Amino acid sequence: MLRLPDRSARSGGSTVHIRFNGRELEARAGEPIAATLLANGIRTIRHQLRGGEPRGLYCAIGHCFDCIATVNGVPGLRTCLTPVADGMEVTSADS
Amino acid sequence: MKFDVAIVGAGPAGLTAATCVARSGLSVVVLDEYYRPGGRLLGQIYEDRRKPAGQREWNGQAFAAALEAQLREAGGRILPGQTVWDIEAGWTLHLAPGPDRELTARAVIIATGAMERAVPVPGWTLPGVMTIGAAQVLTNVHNIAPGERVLVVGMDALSLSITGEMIAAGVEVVGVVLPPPGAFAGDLGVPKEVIGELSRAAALAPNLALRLGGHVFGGALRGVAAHLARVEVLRAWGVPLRLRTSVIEIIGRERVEAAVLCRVDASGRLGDKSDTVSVDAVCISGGLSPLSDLVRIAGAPVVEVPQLGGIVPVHGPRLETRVPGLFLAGNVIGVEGAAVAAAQGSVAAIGAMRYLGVIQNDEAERALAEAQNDVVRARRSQAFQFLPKVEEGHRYVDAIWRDERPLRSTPISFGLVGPPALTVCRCEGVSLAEVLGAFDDGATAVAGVKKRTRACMGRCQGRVCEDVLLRLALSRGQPNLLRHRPRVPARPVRMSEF
Repeated sequence: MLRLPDRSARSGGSTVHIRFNGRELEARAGEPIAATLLANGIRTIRHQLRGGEPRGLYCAIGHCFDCIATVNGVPGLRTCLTPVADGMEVTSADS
Repeated sequence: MKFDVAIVGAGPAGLTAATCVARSGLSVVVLDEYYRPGGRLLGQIYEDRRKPAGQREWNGQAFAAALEAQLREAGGRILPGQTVWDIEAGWTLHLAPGPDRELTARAVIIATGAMERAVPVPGWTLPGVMTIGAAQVLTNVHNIAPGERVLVVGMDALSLSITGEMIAAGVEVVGVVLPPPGAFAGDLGVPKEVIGELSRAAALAPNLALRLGGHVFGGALRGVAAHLARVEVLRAWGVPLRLRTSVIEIIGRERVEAAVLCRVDASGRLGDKSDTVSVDAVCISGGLSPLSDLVRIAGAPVVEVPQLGGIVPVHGPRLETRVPGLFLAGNVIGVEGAAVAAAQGSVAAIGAMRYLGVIQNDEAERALAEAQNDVVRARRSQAFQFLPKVEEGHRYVDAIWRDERPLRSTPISFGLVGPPALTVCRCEGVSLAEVLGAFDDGATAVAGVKKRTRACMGRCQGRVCEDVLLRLALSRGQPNLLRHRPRVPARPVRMSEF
């Protein structure tokens, strides 16, 4: 389990659920999708079209675009910048 | 939407500038890609032992919250979660995703901060490999460990600080090693240079030395510098700092499974003895570099100043650029700490207010002098300086501003670069062999490499690999490789968002 104890008790701790490629995941309200994926042991977010390499979170602050996915039908969103919302559908976009 | 002043970047520089502008009665908006204001303050949590008991914890999130509250109190607006993808003189800023797709302003302050410099390592595109800054965000902002067993690559004050933060949070860090020696890592891959740099940092910043563990820093490091040939490993918080070990490859199928480590001599020559360590996350530190893409799109000239971390916009004492109405603040003009960035925010705000005629000559000059002194005070009292020669770098930019100094660049010479299949451009999956082929084919500018290989043409718009291409060109004796011109949109946007 990669979640660490919350040292500042700032998150408020409410739980929401999202789906990634059909799998239901528990998320903490207020965190970005990429954080939820990693906390649930998911590192591969998509595969490169050229060469098929797996890709995941790299810079975590929106600079690199490696962590993009389709969110509620909108393609190419940076999962590191997009906060989770209950019922959100996230799918890998091979791109 | 119409504002007197638009500010890009809601870190310490942007928020401080905005408050200063708002208090003068002008309307101001701060835009940021992240969904929370604060910029890199959000990841900063550490103890400053020079401060009296009770005030020792430096909590970046609390500081960010205070800056935000102060701005709201002054009547400024913050639009988080908005990407600025074009800036047209006059000024029009184009935003995504909206709902408002553009706004106009009479002056603009760019406070986009810095980004991490990439150090390509074979296997660095595998999920589980991330920047050291990503490790800090995961650990300190989201309370998530980067991995079960983490390897840190790169031994500098920032990476060691973040290693300490990870340990404090309960993350297992199996070791800190050096990046592969060569053109990409430069001095960061050479043990004697790394030790020299750490000794300097420790001597300049006793507080940092304390944070990093007194048993490692202070006098001990200087001893190491003298006896580097015999010292292989230091320990901080129980984590081995392997001074004579480089990572040469990261391996795994769908994700990081292990890292291959190799001995390296004091001058950065790899030995032939290697071993493999099982890890699921590798966090690479390559230093920070100012993020100037929007400034370049807005038409302001830039110059390479290694003392400031890389390419910085040419600017004057009011943090104005060569483009009237365009101002700068924070790490976009040189990599420093949050307090310096905040002080620069006030300077830029006064510059913009003077440009807009809200404050007049004498009053403006007095306020400016005071704000400029605050920058110097903040610089000299910061817990530690990322780059040792920042003041020299700023003096150089001042001279360029006054047209007193010719542009120059500093050649470096590191022959070794990496295996042909090494990915150089992550977005387009362009290999080292392809890029070297483009140079051999006569490319003399980043644009030439881009046209031949697609490197720099992907989603990140060259933010990650342009710097890598420049270092590669330097290593081939092409110190004047022309930088590419960042193009609109500065970030990919959907057609429907145009």
